[in-house]
Formats: sequence, structure tokens, C-alpha cells
Amino acid sequence: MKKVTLLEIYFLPPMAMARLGNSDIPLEAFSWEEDLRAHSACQTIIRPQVSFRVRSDGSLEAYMPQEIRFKDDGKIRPVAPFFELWADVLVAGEGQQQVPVTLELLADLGVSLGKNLLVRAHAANTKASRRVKDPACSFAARLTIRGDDHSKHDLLAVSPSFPEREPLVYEDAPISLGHVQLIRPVASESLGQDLSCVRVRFTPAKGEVYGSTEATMGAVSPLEPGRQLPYASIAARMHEIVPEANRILNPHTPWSEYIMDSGMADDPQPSDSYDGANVGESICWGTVDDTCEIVLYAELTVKGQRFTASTRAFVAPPDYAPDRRPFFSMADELADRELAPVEITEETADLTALEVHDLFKRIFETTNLLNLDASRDYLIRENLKRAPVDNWQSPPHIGREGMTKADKPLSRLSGDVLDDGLSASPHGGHSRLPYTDMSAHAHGSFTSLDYLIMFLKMRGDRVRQMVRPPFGSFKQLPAEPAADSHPDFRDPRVFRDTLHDMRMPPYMRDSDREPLSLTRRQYQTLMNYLTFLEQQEGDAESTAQSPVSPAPEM
Amino acid sequence: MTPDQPKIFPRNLTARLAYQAAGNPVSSRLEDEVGNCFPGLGIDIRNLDRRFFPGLVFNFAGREHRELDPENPNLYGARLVSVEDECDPDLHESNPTAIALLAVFHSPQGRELRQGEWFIETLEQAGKTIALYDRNSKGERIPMDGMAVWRIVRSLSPGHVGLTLMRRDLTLEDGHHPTITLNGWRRQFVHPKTGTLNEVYQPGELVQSLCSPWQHDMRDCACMYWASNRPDIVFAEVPAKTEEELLESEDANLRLDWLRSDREETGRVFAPNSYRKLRQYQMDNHEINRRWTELNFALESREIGETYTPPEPDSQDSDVNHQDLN
Repeated sequence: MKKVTLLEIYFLPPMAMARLGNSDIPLEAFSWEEDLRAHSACQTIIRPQVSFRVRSDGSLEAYMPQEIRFKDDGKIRPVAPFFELWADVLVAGEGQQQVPVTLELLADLGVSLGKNLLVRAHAANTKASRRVKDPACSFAARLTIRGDDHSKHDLLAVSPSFPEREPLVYEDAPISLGHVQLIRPVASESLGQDLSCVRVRFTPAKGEVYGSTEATMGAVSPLEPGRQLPYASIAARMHEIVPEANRILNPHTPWSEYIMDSGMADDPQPSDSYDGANVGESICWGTVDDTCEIVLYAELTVKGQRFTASTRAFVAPPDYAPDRRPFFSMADELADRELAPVEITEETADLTALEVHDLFKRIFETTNLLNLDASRDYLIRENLKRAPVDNWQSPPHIGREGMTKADKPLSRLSGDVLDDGLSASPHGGHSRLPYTDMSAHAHGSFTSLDYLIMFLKMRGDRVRQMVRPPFGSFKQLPAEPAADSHPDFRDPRVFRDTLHDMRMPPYMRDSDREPLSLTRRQYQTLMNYLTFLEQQEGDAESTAQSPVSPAPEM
Repeated sequence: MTPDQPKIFPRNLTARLAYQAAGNPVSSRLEDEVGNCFPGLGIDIRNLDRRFFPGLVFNFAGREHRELDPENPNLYGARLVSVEDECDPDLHESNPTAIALLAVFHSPQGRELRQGEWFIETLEQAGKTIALYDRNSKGERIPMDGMAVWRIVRSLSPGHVGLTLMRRDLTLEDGHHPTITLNGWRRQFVHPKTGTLNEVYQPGELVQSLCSPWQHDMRDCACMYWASNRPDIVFAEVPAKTEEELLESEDANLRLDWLRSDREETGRVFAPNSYRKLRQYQMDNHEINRRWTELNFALESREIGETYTPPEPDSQDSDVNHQDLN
């Protein structure tokens, strides 16, 4: 037995997505890989990876699937992530190490699962309470699981009780937010996986919708998203809102009377994000779902000292296109907030090239499934509600001329083939979705690394023009807003910077409803890489390149 | 980027997020979740900024189209909803700034903040101060819309922040509103070592502003940013077993509206080019609460049935697309 001192415990991963599904069988493991078929254009595909089946005793059986099954008889498989417990330890004679918490490590520490480990869970859905500002309209579940308990524990959520407040979810009619299981570690290995690790699995709920007895049949709007349908115009397309078995909520809470944009006007934006919005008076039907955010905690006591770890999962809808990756992911968002800009040197240039290439591939993957024609049409009309087109006569245009030949020279491909409303495709003939086709055609070229690098080297100025700058950092923003747009960053106080146009990414929204850009960090990496390539080209004989420092204002 | 994870780039991930736990599909990773959100489907990351300044919780009160002349402009901006100095772990660190800020919250000024309607009036970082105002159609200063305030808060870097709060529901004898200036810092949202979210964020807080139920947003959002998870358009499923069969199929290039209500043969028509034309043939609100499981998964941009078998690489061409810069 080694002499081991525990320094810290932690979960891996530190955050994860869980995804709803109504099948009892979770989705198996798969990874992103490059499609190496000759005609694949280097697209991303998914490939099965070693997966775990949880046995009835709570232990794992590892296996390698040959295919990925997403549904069982029409029921969607949920994404139920595993979280591994790890430790920083000091091993006598070997120094500090980061190791998974296994049965062997616990033995080395002189502790056991049953006596020394607790797993706690706290899951909550606070969507209704956030809007009505009443904590009794939240619902939450808490669990404590002993380290030797390997059964499934349901997260049965109810609303908290407060004097003079009506609870939304009754104690005797809880909503299941899924379940938590502490996997039984066994001292064995299978398919390269150590099955003696301490693992916790969170399985999200089934994707049910709940309401009160009043949430029976409801009229819906046949209009485009975000458009208000007056009562007088309701054509009475009706649907069941909540199945009878799920009409279990208290009908006497503020959630059943909620109307957006009333009171203090500090609803989450967009405010019309509930059943009942945009129809008549926009009175809420009082429906809730069974998504949640869950925090899992581990507590390990060793020699009178308590060590703690936590991790967090967010329950989302299924990813219906799991081999198509967002170019602006939640990981990118967190990196943008927390990480220093990328520094590009000779040593890191190849890695940067691959990162930039990956970004362009992710853009291509998104464009494959985007109806750019529809989004362009919608957001141009949004522009026109807010601003007269005559105010900005030069490209990129904000009106119907956007992404047509009127936007030349910015609009290169589209300028040659498209007028607004016409539908010639870049390949000749007619296309029903010409902008969509053009976008895929344009970005498909960049899936070749060699072509992308050549393009960036030769057309850097064009890339700088084509890519919409992100909103500026606080350091970049002037104390008083400028009259016009700045070429390197946007300012939320400058009206033109809030209007959609053909710059990339075109006709998509950001988190403030304004035109989407790359993150500042992504944008800066791309721009600095262009500069780096230009320096390389201009100074080809030099062997010692000076690093491209991050732009000081970013 | 590692040999076994060719599409994961640790340099661009916060601490420990690069780790791939055994048994998890890659769709459990944060790289798979769309980051921009209005409000998003899995996380509304803007909720981090409600607590950007330790001890305080804000709501960003905005309006639909940032109209120039709102009926009551004083409703909009970053509204202080709670002073939570006791339950904010960042305030209980033993650094001088935290100690000083906590002392302010315990002072008469801190008690003042707990009464009335306080909004952020100015933000200061690195010696620069930005006043949070818009101008109405007459050119007069009015409070800045909450979404624009959020954007400016989001632009702050980690480190010192000064902010001035103004109480809008009280006017002093001199005609001014009470103000309080605080010195603190922009919170570190992700722990630099453990990679966990700051524990001040309560379970449910990062998702509290998502649609209720989420199906409403799946149906009705007009943000066009999440096609990678929730497709707009997909190629139709065709009963082809080989690539040759697929190319020969007359439906090979049939691009469907993914959210179509008619999932039968009669619904297999080309997606139109505007939401106006699309809308009447799509699933409705309420209807989608029940039918979301009927929506097809799409792999390689094409709808599939219940399973997906990945292709084997062409053996003779398997090196063609390797990405090697050397």
C-alpha cells in the first residue's frame, strides 16, 4: 500500500450538457472525427466510442457500439453524462499526481465508499419564478447519496413553501427532473477503461410539459416568430397544451396570470418566450418543462478532514445534428470571457492554422443546415422596421440590396449571381434557396486547409472586410459614442452597428438580438493570423519572426 | 488538439474542459452547445452577467426593438434586484478589495441600496468611465436600454470595476437622484484551476431565462443561430445503401424544412425561402410540446431514421484529406 496524502478532489468534466430524451436507454458515446472518404470535403462525422451499460447492481459493462442509435421505437435517447471523481495526491517518493479516485486510491487513503463518501445533488428549474419574481414558482430537488448506495435516485422536484405564497408544484405531485446514480466501482478493466473509478451519472428527464387543469386546448399564432396575433385575427388553430396526466400544477400562482413586458419591464429578453405569448393579451398558460440545471457535489472525509468537489450539468433539448458543430459555442463564449488572447509565434503558427481551419469548418457545418434565404429575408425586414435605408447608401447595405450585386465589391459570389428575389444558383440553373446554396458553396472551399491558407494569405484585406467585427471590449469603446462605425469593433451605442448586413456571419442574431459576430477572441485570432501570414510573406527570408502580439485594445 | 480528439483544442478551453470522460457522447461537451443566446436552448450565458459585480444582482431591462421613445424610459437599464453580500463567496476572500467592498455593503450606504429602484448609471474600468444613456428622438438623454447595458457589462475584462448606481424613484431637494459609487471587480466566472462555474450561481440560475417550455423556443425563435443543433433545413432521407445509390436518387438534393408538421410523404417538398412561406406548414406551439420526438436527427446534413452507421474511410484515399502542414 502506498503512502498517499490527499490534497484535493474534483470532478471531470467540470461542466457538461445533458440532453432530454424519453427513451429509457441513454445515448451511447461517440466522438467527432474527420470523414476521410474521398468525396467527403473533410466534413465532421461521428464515430462510436467505448460506451457503458449500467448493470442492475449499478456497476458498468463496457462495450463498443457498431452504430449510434438515436431513437428506440420513436423515443429519443437522452444524453446522460458521466462525471468522474479525480484527486490531487502526494505520493511518497513520487511527488504530486492527478489521479482518478479508484477503489485502490481509497484503500491507500484508508477510507471506504460507505463510510467516507457522500454525493449530493441539487437540481432546479427557476424559469417561472424568474419571470414572476416569486420563489414559490421555482421547483427543485435535493438528494444525498451514501457512497455505497448504487441505486438510481429520482430527482423529484417541488416548490418551496413560503407564508402567503402559492407553490407552483405541489409536494404530493412532484415533477421528475431525472435521476442520479453513483456507479458501483469494481476492481476491473474493460476495453481500456478502469471500472474501479468513482463515477456519478446524471440522467435528465423525459421532456415532459406540465400545466394546471386550465392548460387544456389553446389557440396558436400562425404568424412568423415574434409577431403579435390580435384576438380578432385568431384563426383558431388549436392544440392540446399539456396532456391530461400532466395537469398537476397549482392554477392559483402568478405564473398563470403572467403577461410579458408588464410591471418592471425587466423580463428576460426576449420576453415572449412562454406558451401563451403573442396570442391575444399574451397571458401565460402557466406551463413549465422538466429541464433543469444541476450541481453535483462529492464529499470525501479523510482523517477528519472533508474534501469537496462539484460539477454542473445543464439540461438542453437533443442536439438533432450532432455532427454539425456551432462556430460560436458555449466553450468559445467562456474562453472569450476568461482566457487571454492567443499569441501567434513561429512555434504556435501551425496550431493556430489548425484552429482557424477548424473555425472555418464549423462555419461550413452550420451553413449546411441554415436556411440563409429565410433568415436574410426576415432580418432585412427587421432592419427596415428600425431604420430608413437611405441613411446608409454604401455597401454593405441594410435593405433588400444586401448581399446582392449592389453590395459589390464586398459581395463577390452573390454579386455575380444574385439579385434580390432572383434565384440563379452558383452552379447555373435555378435554385430554390440561392443564398443558402451560395453560402455552402463558398464555405465548402475552405474545408481544404491548403486552400484556406492560400486564401488568407492572398485575400487578407477581403477577409477583414467580410468578417463583421465583434462588439468592442470596454477598453476599445470610447467614453462617448462615435457618430459612425469603427472598422475594428462595433459599439452598441452606434445605431448602424446594430443593423444586419451581409458581413459574416450574415443574418444571424447575437445574445442581445443584434447581428452576430465571432467572439472577440476568435476574431482577434483570425485577424492576428492574417497579420502573421502577411509578415511571413513580406519577410520570407527572415528565419526569426517576431511574435504577433495580441492587439492591445482587445 | 490531440490524436484521439482531433477536433478538441485545449488552448481555447477553460480549465479542465478539454477532458473527455469515458462513456460520454461528444454532444455532452460545451463545444457542442451554441454559445450565443437570445435566450438559447441549453444555457443562457447572459445570466453570468447578472452577478458580474460581487454582492449585487441585476436584471437587464430591455425592450423589444430599443424604441427611441419608450413610454417610461426610467424602467430600462441594469436594475439592481438584490444585494447578496452574505451569500457571495467572492466577498469573503481575505483580499483588501473584498474586505473594503463588504464593509460598504454593511454600512449605511449598503442599507440604502436595499431600498428603492437602483440602476447602474456609469461603469468605470482602467480609468475610463462610460455613462449608460441613450438619446431619444429629440436628442435628449434617456437611460440606456438594458440589452445595450448588458453588452457594455459583457465587454468588461476581469479586474477592477467601479460603478455608480442611481436611485431613480427618489428625487432629492436639489433635484438630483441619490447615487452611490462602489469599487469592486468583474467576477471571475470560471475557476482558473478547477474549471467549475463560480459557486455563487445557484442551480437553475444559468437556465432561468430560457423558454418555458423549451419547445416554445424550438418552434418560435427567430435567431437563426442554432442550425448546428436545431436545423432549419435538411436533406431528405433516402433509402440508399451506397453513395452511388444516394447520388442516383431523385430525392438526393431535396432539402426539407426540418420543422415541417407533415412528416409523411406529402410533406416531402422543398423548403421555401422565407419564414412567411414556411410558417403555416410547420409544427405549431403547443403541438410541438407533444411532437418534438418526431423530429428527425440529421447526420451528414441528411435526415436519418433511428440509427446511424458511420462510413468507413476509402482505403486507397484515406490519406487524401489528412491535415498535415509539414
